[in-house]
Amino acid sequence: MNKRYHDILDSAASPYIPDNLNLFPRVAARLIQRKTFMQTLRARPALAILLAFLALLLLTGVAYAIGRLSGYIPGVGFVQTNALRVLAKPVSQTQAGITVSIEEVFVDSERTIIIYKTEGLTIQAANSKGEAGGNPFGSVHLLLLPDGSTLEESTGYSGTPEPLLDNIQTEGGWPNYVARLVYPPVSDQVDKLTLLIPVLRNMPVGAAPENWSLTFQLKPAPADINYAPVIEFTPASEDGAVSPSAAGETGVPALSSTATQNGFTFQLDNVIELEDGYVFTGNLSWDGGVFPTGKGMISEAVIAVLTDANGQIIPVEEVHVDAHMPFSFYENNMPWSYRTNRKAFEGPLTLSVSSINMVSFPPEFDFEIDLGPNPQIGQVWEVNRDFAVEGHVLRLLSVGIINPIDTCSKSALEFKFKGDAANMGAIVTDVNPEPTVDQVCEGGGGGGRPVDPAIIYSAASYRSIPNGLHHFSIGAAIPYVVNGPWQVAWNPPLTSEPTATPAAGVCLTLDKWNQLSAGNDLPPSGLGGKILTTVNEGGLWPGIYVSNLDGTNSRKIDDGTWPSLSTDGTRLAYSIGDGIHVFNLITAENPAMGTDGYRIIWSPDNTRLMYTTTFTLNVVNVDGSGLQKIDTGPAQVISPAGWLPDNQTIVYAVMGGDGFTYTTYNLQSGETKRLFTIQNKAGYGAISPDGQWIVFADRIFGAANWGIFISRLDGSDRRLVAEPEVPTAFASVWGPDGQWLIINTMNPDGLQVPVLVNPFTCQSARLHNVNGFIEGWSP
Amino acid sequence: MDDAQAIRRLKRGDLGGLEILMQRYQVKAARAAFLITHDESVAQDIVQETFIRICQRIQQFDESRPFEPYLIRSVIHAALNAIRGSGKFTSLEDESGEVKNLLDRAASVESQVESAQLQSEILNALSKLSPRQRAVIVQRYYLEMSEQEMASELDAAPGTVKWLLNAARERLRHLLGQKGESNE
Repeated sequence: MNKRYHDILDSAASPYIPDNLNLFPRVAARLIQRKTFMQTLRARPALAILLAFLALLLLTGVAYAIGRLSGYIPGVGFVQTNALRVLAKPVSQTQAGITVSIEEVFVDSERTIIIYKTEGLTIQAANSKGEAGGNPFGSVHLLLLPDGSTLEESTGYSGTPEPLLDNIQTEGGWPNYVARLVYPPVSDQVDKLTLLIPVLRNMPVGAAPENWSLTFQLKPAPADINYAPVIEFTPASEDGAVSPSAAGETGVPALSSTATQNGFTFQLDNVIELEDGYVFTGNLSWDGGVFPTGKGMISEAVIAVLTDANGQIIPVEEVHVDAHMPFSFYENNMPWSYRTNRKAFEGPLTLSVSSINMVSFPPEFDFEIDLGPNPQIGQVWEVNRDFAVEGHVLRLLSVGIINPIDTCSKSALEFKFKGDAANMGAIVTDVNPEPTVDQVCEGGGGGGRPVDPAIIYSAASYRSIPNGLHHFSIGAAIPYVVNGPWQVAWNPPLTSEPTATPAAGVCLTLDKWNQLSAGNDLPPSGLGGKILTTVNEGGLWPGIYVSNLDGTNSRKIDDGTWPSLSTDGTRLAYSIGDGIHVFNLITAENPAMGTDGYRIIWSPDNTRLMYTTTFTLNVVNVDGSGLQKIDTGPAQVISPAGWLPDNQTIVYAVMGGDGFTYTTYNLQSGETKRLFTIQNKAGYGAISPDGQWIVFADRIFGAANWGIFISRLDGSDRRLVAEPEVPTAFASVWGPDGQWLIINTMNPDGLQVPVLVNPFTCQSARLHNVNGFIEGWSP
Repeated sequence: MDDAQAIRRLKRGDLGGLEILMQRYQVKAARAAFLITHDESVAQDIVQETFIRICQRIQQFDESRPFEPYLIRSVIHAALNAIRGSGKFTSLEDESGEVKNLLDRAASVESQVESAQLQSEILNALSKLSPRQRAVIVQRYYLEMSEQEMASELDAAPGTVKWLLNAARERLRHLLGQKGESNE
């Protein structure tokens, strides 16, 4: 049997998303509700006028007092401050070592927000789903009112908004979690609620205590509740205007919170001041005139760039300011929000959109073809007829009868076009279509993308093989670009914090890496030793090789995984089916230790090994004796990083709610010391032989990839070694002298490109003649 | 009725067109979202909100473009946003190789029992991936998109996608060693 991956994943998801899933009633109800409101407006013009007046007040800033009724609470979102109620006191419940705590509740006239967290859930329990017979994870959480009625979570994603709930963390990380639930508002007469949790998230049925019931009280929000300052802008407001002189210094026109050009308006609505940055919110709106033919759409996401007064790009990340309705979309309007991770800037700050990719839909045109009395599937009519559409030429190359594209059809007519520009589109409609089929048709609609972006396919389905004369209406889609720029600006307040200083020169930039990848430079003279590599050879286990640094004397040791060279380069520990082996590179002895694990690291004196089994961290003598299980606290995922030269202190990373935290542990005294936390959700790290430095991969704010850093063990003196644009792997390797690193990278063709970098001098070179992933480097 | 006809019905305000589109694609979209979010309620919410958003903008929808990729792209992006915000993914961002490994195993087993177990392990393995890697796995192996299509959908260079996939495969060997522990 050779099941397709699609089928396997489909089967894996099917217990949770059943075949008979029907979301249509919920969607239709939402749409009808909205439609009804709009119809009410049309039927009751007085109401529409009132609403328009209110909107005008808001837009002109006259309704300042109304605006002040809205506040922003980090991790919660915008709330109505005039009627806000909060949790009277935290509530928690413990069952069988699992604790569920309600941490925050906010109730205003719009909704009820509940934030709770769990402690004590284990990965083992989360992973027991298969044994539990395929039950789903978690369940719907209900809110029980005093009258016995229940509320379901509001439609719309109610997950964690940005900025993240940094002030509420779980110990040990996944599968423990912090949840944010959003329910409809409750009457101000109700001051007691009960949260009902049949099955905790991340937990399969039967794996953890169930049927939680947490009752809590509400109280009016205290006067000193911590709202984040919100600076509001309106089109009529000058709050966000930048003085012409300030803008003039940069040689651009005066900037404000609104920029209108070519039918598009880019509007800055709010700036929210957080403890560690700003959140900018706004929207892009447009009028119908932006489409040359009156019909069209924005075809690609519009992403703004934030710059400071010097034109330096400031990293930002898109955020959900308010998770209640992150998917709120309005006609001719596209909301956006971005955040920074710091507040000290040299203003004014400018958000710019340089261009907007559009598609317009010209008026449809007609075409007819006589298929003859008895056409057959596979028959093709060469047409080669040009149609002029909005300054472009769309050539209909051919029409052919193909097999049905959905289960309701017997055949389809496929139209093949060629546009004179890339990514043009076309759709063909039979002017006299067959009666629709009542049943739901599977398939259809897709067809994949043509390899040639100028080739376009469109098809019309038929319940039989069509014949005779057919008339078609053909609509085209023409891509085009509307150029800006649209720029809005804001002057951040002066701060005593120093503005960000440019990072010290990164050693391995993308340009440098490209040069190294393409070049034939040799490694610096004087470098040598053995390197350990693994090579994916298509088997169940990769091949383990030891060679000289220059690739010579390559020798395959065995198939296996997680190989680790002793610091003297004489032995090799690795993991395979029957556990950890220790291979003597001199005598070729290869005893099994009788224990299993991975991420093996030798002690500096080569007498012991540290390894993990994900949930445990162990140290054992090389002969398999003296197993010592390390107490790593509540963390359930542990990643060894290395040893200090004293042979008694190990360094590892433990997973927590905010990432992995590097930790030292003294094997004699049991003393544990937390070092620093990385946020890339991976615990890889390597300690330099002198114990002074650690190399690790970490998230970089605003970057799509991780960077490779070194720092002191306490996290100080942090230096970016490889910028995030370089396609690095997580694991890097220190050289025996503690001065050089081997950074594993991979080129776009999938070839390993190991790069030597001295992070202290930035000298770098590519390792040639080395195949595979570098796992170790010994004398 | 093909997608374009359903969309035209919807443009005329006929929710029957929406019903057809939803019945045709909601399960696939929800499963794709679930494989990324690992939360069926969030997955359903994502699909629901995506369809609402599409309806609200249906007048601007280009009928000449296939509907399904548009829908799935929206769902994938929404799922990525949802899980990024949740902080729910766990660790070991380079463990997507485990998923590939488990898929390989599941593709070769005859036993229904073992297959069910592997499906469970696949979900567990997915839960350990970063959102972006989940999306890559779902797009490549569930939605069966080409690397070129994925590059387009992810707004990434083709080389980046190739890199992501190759990185996942490269780590396969390590994850073979971890699978045993994952069920402890």
